[in-house]
Amino acid sequence: MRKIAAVVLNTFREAIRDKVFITIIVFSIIIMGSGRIVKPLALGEEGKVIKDIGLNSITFFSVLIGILVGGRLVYKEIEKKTIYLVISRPIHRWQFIVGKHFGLLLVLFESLLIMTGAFYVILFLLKIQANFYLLLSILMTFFQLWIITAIAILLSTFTTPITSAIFAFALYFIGHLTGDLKALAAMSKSVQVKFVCNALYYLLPNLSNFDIKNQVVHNVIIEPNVIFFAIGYAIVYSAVIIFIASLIFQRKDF
Amino acid sequence: MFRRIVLKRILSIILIVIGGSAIWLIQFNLDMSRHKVLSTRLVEELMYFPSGKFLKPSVIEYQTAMSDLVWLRAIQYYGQHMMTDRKYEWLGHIFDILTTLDGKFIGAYHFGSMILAWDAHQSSEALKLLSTGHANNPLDWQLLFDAAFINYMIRRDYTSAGYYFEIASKLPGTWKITQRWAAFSYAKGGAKEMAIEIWLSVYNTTENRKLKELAARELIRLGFSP
Amino acid sequence: MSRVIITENLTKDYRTGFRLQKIRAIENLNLEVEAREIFGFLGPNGAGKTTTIKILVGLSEPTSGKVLVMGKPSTDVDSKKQIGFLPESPYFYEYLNAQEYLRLCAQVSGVERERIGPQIEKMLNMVRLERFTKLPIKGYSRGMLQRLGIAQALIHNPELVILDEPMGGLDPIGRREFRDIILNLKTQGKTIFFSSHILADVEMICDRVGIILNGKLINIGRLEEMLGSEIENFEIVVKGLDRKMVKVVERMSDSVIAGDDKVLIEVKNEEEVERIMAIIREVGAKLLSLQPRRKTLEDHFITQIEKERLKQI
Repeated sequence: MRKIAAVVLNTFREAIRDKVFITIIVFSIIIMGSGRIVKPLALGEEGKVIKDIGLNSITFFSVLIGILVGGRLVYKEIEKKTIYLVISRPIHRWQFIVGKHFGLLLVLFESLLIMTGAFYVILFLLKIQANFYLLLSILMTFFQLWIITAIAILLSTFTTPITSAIFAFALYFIGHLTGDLKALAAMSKSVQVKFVCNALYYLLPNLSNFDIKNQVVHNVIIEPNVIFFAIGYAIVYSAVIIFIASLIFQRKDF
Repeated sequence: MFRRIVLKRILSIILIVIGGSAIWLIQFNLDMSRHKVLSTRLVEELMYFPSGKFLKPSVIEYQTAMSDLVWLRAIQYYGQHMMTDRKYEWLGHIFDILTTLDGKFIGAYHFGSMILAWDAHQSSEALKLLSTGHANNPLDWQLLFDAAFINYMIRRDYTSAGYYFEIASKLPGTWKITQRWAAFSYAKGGAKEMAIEIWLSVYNTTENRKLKELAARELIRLGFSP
Repeated sequence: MSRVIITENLTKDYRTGFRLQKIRAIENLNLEVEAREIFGFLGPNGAGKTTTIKILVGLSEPTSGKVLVMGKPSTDVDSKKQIGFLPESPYFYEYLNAQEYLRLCAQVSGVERERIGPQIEKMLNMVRLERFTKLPIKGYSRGMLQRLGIAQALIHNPELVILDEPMGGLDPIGRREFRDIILNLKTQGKTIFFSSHILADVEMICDRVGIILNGKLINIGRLEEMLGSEIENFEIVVKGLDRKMVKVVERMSDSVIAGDDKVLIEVKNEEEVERIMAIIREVGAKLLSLQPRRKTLEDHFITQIEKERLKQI
């Protein structure tokens, strides 16, 4: 356990210094701050608009960090051979991968903290009424990131950063459209199409489980079951992905 | 020696400033010549979306942000045409996209239906918008109220107006006065007083600047003097 | 256990290229390393030294054959507890400083929490980096990197230390320091396995030596046995021989190199030495030095390599 913690901390330190990370954080705060310009244009709806900008940009930028930084994590260690002096020690390969995953999550947690803090400050300065319900949406974003980072790390164990970024983005995009697959399965009369669509639906990450921005901004009450099951889904799905990543990593020759 | 370096530096700075000014100048003139084309571009872009149903999945989880973008564009569209030709061909379409992206955006239904009914003279579009709004927000009294008002004032369909007023009066948060107006409508009387009362409330309570202006215009039209 | 490293028919194949062609990097390697000895693993570049080492430390898996390190299979994570490894050009996390890096290494290697602090201090003092604890590794010189490399290899006090070309790129002082460290480790009871192509260093400190060429082990054994205690030849340096005598001596010896007033004579055996000595006494010349020369490792190495190459023709 302590060994995983050591890798987690090291991954965290490394990712924090990644220029990509810092750039994205700064950018996100700028975008959120631009909400101020919106006020005169929004005709009284600036409350909704600025909350939307805040939540959407927090999600967008944290996903960006997750995919871009995550995709380089394992690859960079192999490229730079810093991994030699870790893997040659009494640590299981899966411990290394899990450490990387949680290190990345720690980084994202910190980014979310910073961005959310800035968000609430902006809401306060613009005198927009805000409650803590918005935090629920950010919590769900965090669990969406749990899955996305797991995928990014899986890809990072066997492809270059660019390829893994492309595939991760593709999966992210598709992951939000899986609802259509389910609908297609329901509508189709062919058994094969039904089977394939349903199989894909359960195989692909259903990221729309984590999109509650709309409800949160309009103060619609969400059933707790929805939240709990979504969190459970994130943890289990990621565990499977990380397991596969560990298997691939296990067979690697350095 | 030292002087040479300083001179070189000054020269470089001057060159950069000149270059920057040239860039600014060219861009400025470019924008001026493009200006006329720019305003119609806004609309054209929205027209390329056959409906909100296509736009919705392509922005995946960023629908609410997209809805805000469309909201801002809708306001631009309205403002532009109000100052020029007063033709609002695509208004209904724009609000349809907007509300497909964010079905709970009450303000969009409210504002959209008002300007569709009163400025664009498209009361059936307005009612269609409000019925979508009601389907997505069944407990919202305002949308039914707006539908009732349009039916009463523009379509002079007092029975429908009364019906909508009545339902609205039973929903949470409704104005206490709604029940009375249900009665009014059903009785098919008191058009002017009721209208003035309602427009006054709208004028006093809304934060939407354009809606305030609309209310003011209607009050003047009805002969209201404060 | 007396045998710290055992490989039985160790074979490693790689598949590269588009059609995944098989390249055999190591073939049927049978190695044994005894406890508390210094073992030198020699071979020309590309012979398979680094590949073998990577398998020993678990960075790579054998294609076939058995590899036991400290009694456990090399693929077993536990086998690494007692291994300290220094790769050829060690790469560290550049933004960390020495203390943070060694802490990471200690934690991953399972050093007990209370011992980590003192152990780090001890290591930094040993490699003389104690003044640079807060400097990020990014700013290290080559020598400092190498010293940090040793520190991280020993931080968890392993019984077996594996070094891949540890002295490449070091100046003579650095090399001597390194040799001293290795000898010191031996007195502490540790086993050292290192690969090198600098034969002089190996000759100076190794107990046993293994020679690898093209993935095959062509010779292995104790250094003296390999080199033999036989004397290769004798070198005699004489002063005061005139030209006529030099010519006489030339006929009786293997080679003669005449300088201004000194003459270097090479003879094969002790009888010839006696004959030369007799002449020197007779003529009244001065004997400056008499040295028996043993076969060096370099001689042996080159002979072996050429033998193998001839075999392949």
